[in-house]
Amino acid sequence: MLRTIKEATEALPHSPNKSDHECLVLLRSTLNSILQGKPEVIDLVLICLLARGHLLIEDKPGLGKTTLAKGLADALGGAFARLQCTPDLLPSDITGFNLFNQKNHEFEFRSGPVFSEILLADEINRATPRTQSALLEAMAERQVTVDGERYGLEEEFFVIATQNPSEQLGTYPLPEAQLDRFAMKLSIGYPMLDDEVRMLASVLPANRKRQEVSVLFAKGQLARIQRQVADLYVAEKVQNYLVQIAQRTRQHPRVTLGISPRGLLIWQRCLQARAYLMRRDFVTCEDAQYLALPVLGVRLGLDDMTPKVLLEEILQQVAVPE
Amino acid sequence: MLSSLAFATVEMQNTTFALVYQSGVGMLWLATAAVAFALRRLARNTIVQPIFSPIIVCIMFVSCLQDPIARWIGLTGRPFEMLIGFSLQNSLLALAAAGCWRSSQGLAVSGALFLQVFALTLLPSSVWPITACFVAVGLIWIMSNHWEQIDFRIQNREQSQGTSARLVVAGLIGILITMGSVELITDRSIARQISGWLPSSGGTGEYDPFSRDGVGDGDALVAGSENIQSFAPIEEAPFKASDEPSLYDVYNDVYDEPVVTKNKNRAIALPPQVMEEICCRMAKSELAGKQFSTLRGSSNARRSTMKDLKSEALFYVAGRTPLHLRHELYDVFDGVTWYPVDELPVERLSLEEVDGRPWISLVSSNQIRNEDRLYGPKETHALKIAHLDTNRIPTPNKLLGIHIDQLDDLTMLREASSGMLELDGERIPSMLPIHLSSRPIDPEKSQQEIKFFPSRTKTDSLPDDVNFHRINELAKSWTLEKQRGFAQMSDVITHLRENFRLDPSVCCGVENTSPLEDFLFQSKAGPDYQFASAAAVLLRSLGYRTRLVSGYYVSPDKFERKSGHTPVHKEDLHFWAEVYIEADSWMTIEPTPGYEVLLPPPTFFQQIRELAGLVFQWAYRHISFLIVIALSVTGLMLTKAHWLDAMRTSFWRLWPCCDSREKIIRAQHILQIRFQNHGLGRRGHEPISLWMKRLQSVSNQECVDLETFAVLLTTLHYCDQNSQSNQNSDVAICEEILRHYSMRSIPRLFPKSIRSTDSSETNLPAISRVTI
Repeated sequence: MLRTIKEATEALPHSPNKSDHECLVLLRSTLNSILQGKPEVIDLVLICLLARGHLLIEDKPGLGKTTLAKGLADALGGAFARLQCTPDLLPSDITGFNLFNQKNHEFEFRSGPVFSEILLADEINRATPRTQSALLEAMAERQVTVDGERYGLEEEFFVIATQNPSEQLGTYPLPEAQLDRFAMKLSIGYPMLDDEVRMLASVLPANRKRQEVSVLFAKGQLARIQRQVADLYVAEKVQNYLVQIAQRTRQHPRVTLGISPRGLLIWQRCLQARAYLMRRDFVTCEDAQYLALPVLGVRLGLDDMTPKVLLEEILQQVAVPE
Repeated sequence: MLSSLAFATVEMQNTTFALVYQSGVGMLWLATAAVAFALRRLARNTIVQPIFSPIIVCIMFVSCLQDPIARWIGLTGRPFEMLIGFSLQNSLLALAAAGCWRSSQGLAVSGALFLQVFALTLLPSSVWPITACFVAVGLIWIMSNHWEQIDFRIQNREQSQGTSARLVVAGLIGILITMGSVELITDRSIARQISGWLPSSGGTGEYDPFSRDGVGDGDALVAGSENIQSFAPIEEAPFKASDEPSLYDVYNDVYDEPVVTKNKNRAIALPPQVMEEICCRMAKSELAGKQFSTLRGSSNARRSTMKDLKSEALFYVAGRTPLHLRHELYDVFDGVTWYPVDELPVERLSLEEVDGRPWISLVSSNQIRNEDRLYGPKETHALKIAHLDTNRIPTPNKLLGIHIDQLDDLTMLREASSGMLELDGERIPSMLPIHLSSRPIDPEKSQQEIKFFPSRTKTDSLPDDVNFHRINELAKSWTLEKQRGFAQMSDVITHLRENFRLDPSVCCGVENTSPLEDFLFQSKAGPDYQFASAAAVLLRSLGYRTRLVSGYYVSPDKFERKSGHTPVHKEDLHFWAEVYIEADSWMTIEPTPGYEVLLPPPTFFQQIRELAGLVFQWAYRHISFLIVIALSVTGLMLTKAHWLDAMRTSFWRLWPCCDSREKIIRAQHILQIRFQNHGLGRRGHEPISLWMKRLQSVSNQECVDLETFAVLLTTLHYCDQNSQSNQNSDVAICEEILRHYSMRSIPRLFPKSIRSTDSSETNLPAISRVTI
């Protein structure tokens, strides 16, 4: 059974000395109680976070994207910003701009929503390509340049972008090059019947509890965990396995764009993150198989074929080196 | 490493095969190395292995084609077995060039080892150590490859289902191997049947100028003229002066008087060059004696140990058997005794040259040669005389001609009676090869057309004191009023063969006045001369003209596979009968059971049928032995998985491998093969942890140890090996796992019903089920 936030937070009282793994367990259970019945999605979101990647969620409205992002920001103790992308959104709306102060006759920088820890970019495909690339550059470089001046972003800067697949009119689909900057693409999906009933019940006064998430991470703790993830050992045979699969995607006749070396790097980092999350100090080929679809699915150019079918086909062809 | 190994073999082959190809070896080496290098680069870029087998087969064919073309142009030629070796070598080179792909490695090394063993039979002994080194290295490579092969198999092959057909085939193969190896080769009749079937360049009777060896088959056989140590009945053997009587002599008055032999025969004068050559060499060696070297070879010692190879045989026969060789003909019968009639020679001899060799042919032979109605194809036989104490040459019926080396003087041969030849002298010298050419009557062909002429002369009529009426009645009762002809005659013979018993010990006493009647009506058993005599008399009573023949019977049962000859001993003296047919011809008839007449050579299909019959007979005789073999082979196949597993496990336990990591991985392989045998094997794309989970889902009890094992293995495979410390406790876990999940316990722990419902979903890789 899922525990409520209160119970979860009360069970393990917050203390700055708590170990990294304990914090992660706590974060996971907290998010699970916010977004009920989607433990796999929560795991993938956490993997993405630990791998310092950005997340693209392709889903219909009202499925809990914002709730998830907000809960994550609350638990991490950082600032949360939300960006509703529309065709008239300008790059300066994202990065911020210099405003002339009439009093002291100076330009002063008004920071945009990217200067936050968690940024939710809603319906990113409705923004114009110019705006999209401004955001994506900020994601890749972790810095923005306004009027020739550089401003560094937060170290834990994490973007959750959403796409709405149902509305195709007036959208600017993200080009493949831009999609490659996301670590993962996933969809939350509708909750199961039981979970949905429980959700309805939980908002009634009798069951309502204080939706309050306490900060679980100390300042700089997440960044330290992310560095630990990057240092995790990866066996050579796993790397060979990843490269073999990547090569097969490049050679497959129905694939127009295979896995890039950058994609491989991100994939490896995600494997490390999953291993860390599962408290292992090594990476297995099972991790690679598990993460193949969310990580590779976002960066494959395909001819009328779903990524799932392709990856199942390729994974069955490559022997696991065990 | 593999390529170089294969190259080494091939190189070895080439140096031993023929000097002509030495220059080509280097080129082949370079070409193969270049192709291997190119392919290695290609292999790095492509993952899928190309299909090689058509290329390899093409290379084999082209290599085989090369020789006929070279012969046709007139360049050179190679013996058949060398050609096969050459084509095998080329395909091995191709395989070695493709050595970067795994599947060609094993084949290349195994083939190279085979070629090596083949080469061992040809190699001079000095090259043996290198060869032995190669064989040892190759064997070690194959052995060490074993574990990797297992790994390879696990990942690439699904569980193969053992079908009953496969078991039957296995049983049959076991029988065949046993028959081939244990006794079939030693069985004389079958050995005779298959002799000459296996492709080789020598000993087939065909002339091949490029063959390596084989008597009379090629130019390779050269008589030694230096350091002559033995003398055998072959034409090319050198002349050597001895006090044994010989057909050949060299008049020699250079030194002293020649050795006077005890039994001086008439001899053929050899060209004096033969002697000169020998004498010159001897003179040279005498000159060399002025110096004395202390360095001496072992040739003297070897010479002193040379021994004569004695034989009990009278002579040896090369050629098709059974064969009746006539020695004496008897025409007159007085009821007890047969007498030969010294007819005046009716045939005259003439000399002709065939292939540059003198053949002495009989005058009637021209007529026989052109007559196709009665006779089968021409037969040639070679007699190699050992101890024949007569001057009469044993000859087959319907002799066409005779050839003795250097004998071109007609007066050396004398005709005794019709068709019988005698050598001028007291006896035929030993060690003399005599070639005979004949054309036997084909009974199949002539069955309808033979005309039997009645008895005409007094000499072959029935004797007075034989109860003619009684014998005639008996003969008529056997033939059931059949018309005069081949059928009637063969009825008499068949009756004798089937209803009378050959027993050399049955001997009528001296007081018995009519041994023939005693044989026919009383004992119905006797030695072979009684059969022959009875057949002759019975047929005479029916009005045929017959005679008794004595001679030698060359029995096919005595065929010696090793020498390709059939020896004839004293006890092969035999009696048979002949019946007169048209055109001054006599037909051999064999009334004695167990003896056969030479039939025309069988066609290919007849040979096959004959061989199949013989094999079947052999199998029938050893039926229980074969059943045991078949059952045990089938049993071994049925329990193959079990005993292989037992071997693997004990090997794992006893192998002195100090690295516990290696040991754990081998334990994993053993476990994987065990589960694979029960249809629960790990698929190639399946990580161990998922495989273990799948096993747990079909198990009927908790498998905590499997989970532990999975964690242990996953850690072992992916963990940083430098920081990893393997303890013996891990090996103990493996021991426990292998003991728990044995071949016997797996079906119990993982019931079949669950296994069959194994859904296809588990076949998919562990992709995250988060929908996109």
